[in-house]
Amino acid sequence: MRMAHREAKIRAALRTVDGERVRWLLGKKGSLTTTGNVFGEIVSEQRYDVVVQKAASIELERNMLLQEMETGPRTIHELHETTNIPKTELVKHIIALKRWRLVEQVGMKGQSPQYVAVPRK
Amino acid sequence: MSTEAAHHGSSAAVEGEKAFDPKLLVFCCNWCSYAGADLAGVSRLQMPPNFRVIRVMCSARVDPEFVLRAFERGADGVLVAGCHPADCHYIGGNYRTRRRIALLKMLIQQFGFDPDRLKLEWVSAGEGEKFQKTIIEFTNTVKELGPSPYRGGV
Repeated sequence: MRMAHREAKIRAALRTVDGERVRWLLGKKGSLTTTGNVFGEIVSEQRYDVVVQKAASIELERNMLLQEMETGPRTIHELHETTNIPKTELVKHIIALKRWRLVEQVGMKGQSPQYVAVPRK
Repeated sequence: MSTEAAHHGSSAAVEGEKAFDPKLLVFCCNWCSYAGADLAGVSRLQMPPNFRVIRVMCSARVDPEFVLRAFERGADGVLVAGCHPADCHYIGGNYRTRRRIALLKMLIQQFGFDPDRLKLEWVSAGEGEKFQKTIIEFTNTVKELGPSPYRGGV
């Protein structure tokens, strides 16, 4: 079980590295910390590191959830049991993933909604 | 068991507890760092024997998966050595590596690893001494950090 969890986390990390969000942030480091964004706001190196760190950790968790939901419909409780992510964080992730149409609600299990990952094109 | 054997047994156990030999993996680019490592070898520069070198054609060949798998399979530290910026044989491979390693340093923290367990260093073909110094420093850093969390460390 522990090995399976580790393997899932590694696969999620690889998806994170390939992901658009983190790659974009890394690619923009030079311009964000020197010339600034489109509004001319310059981000300090420390602030930039915090932002990338946070983005990487969020993306890692979301990719772990997506991997789990790709195997079949899951409730929040089931996702919490397999990924050990706190339920409060899980709900936030699910809301964000639903907003980007990466997951959808497919039914109910008892009183809990079940979510499944939308197949990637 | 004789007294001497008991003594040897206990001292070996104490030695085992005290001495931690880290397992280090070093990815060297074919054009600069591998030649630098070779120079360090033929110059008979003294280095800790805790590392294994994997030669890759460019430091950019080091896929994030290689690093994560190395840690998963028990490496205590991973060093990626490439050409100096602007010296890359493939024009810009080492710039890609720099970004990738920066991201990996953040990601390995999510696995419970200290970011210092992953290091990127530029070593050219003529820098045998720099290779030696890098290996010694990295070995000392990893020794201070202790065994990898996947090998029972913290």
